[in-house]
Amino acid sequence: MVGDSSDINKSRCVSDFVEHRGFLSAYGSYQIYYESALLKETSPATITWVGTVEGVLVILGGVASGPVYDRGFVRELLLVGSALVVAGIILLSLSTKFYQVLLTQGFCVGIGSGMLYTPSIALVSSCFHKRRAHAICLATCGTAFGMSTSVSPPCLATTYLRSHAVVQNLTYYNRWNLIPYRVCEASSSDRFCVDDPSAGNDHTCRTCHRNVDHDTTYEATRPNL
Amino acid sequence: MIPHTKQRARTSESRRLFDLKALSEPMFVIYCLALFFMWIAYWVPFFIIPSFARYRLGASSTLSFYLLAVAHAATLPGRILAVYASTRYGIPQMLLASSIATGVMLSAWTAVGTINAYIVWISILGLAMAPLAVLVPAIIPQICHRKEVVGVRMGMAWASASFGVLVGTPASGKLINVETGSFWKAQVFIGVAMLAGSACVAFLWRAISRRDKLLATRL
Repeated sequence: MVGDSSDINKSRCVSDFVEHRGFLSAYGSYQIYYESALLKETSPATITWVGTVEGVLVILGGVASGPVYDRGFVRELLLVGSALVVAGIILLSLSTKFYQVLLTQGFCVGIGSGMLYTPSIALVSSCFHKRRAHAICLATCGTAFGMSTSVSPPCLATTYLRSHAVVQNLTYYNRWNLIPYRVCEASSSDRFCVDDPSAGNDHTCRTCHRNVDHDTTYEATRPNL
Repeated sequence: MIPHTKQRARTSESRRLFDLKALSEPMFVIYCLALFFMWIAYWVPFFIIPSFARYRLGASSTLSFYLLAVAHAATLPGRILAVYASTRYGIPQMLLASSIATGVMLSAWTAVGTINAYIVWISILGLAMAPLAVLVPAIIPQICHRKEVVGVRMGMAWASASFGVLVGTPASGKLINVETGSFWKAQVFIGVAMLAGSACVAFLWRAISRRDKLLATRL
């Protein structure tokens, strides 16, 4: 299976960070663009609220999505989060007024990024055991790379924003295609029951405590890209 | 290999959003305060770096956009170094060093007057700030007495950080006057906030080392 490789897991997690942290980290360039061009009549202090709302929602969304992730809704988090981020960026490219920018970049992208935050951190720590700290460190480096994709000198054109949304969409497909998980039919109460990679080839189900093989599990269908 | 999403402890306790008992633990409260103060300052430089270059130093718009990329490029070696240094010197020590360095650099921002000095300042700031975000979650397991509460505590700590963002960025936005190019009030504000955060980290470090000594003597 393609998704079994650690390197690919790593690339997936880096692309997670590229996506949402990069956009928040690049907010300074959006701020100056709004100040000098798009929202000239709005005061800079008011414009700062866009970045504030985005920053707060990214963190609080991460807090709220933790229990959701614990219950096993990892794909739902990724699906809804990515859809919100991409929709927010495309709608941002159409925005001309302050309240529109606040709703799209502040709320839509902020909530979407918050949903992506927990899976991206938790997947790294669950995919790597021996060198977990280094893996998390490399994944957070994705923020800096994402930043360079998000900065757009000399000005933010609407075409640029739409192309950025396409890039985000591609990183999303990267993850969607590579998240394999097995669902144990024996455990009806839980959505997942996945085996423990640290146990090597001995796939013991953590929920029903029995040996899991392909007879009792099935892989969720993935879009064929 | 499959991401095993059921790795965490499956008690009802680990799934709660808020744990009132945590607020009676001084170490955790100090940690939340530290995060609150540090996150008042954390995002502000990234938000106003281009504005400062444009309206104070008179840089071209192309350069002021690129300065943000410079800041983030400078965080790359900082993030990687932070991990190696913290395995050698300890996580609270590295967090303290990083927050003091960041507080000093943010206060020194008021002295930046030319574009060249600004680029050097941005690079050093990025290097100093990078360990903050990497090391902050790593301290939580050290100050939790049980493994099951780590998730809840992590959430509460980040919630206090988000209140810091809610205070810091709008306040500094109000303190900045773009037309006259006056940024010093916001710079002093975030510098003091970061230094207050590092004072809290210093208390935390002292508390952790005291507890570790106590545990060592008991054993």
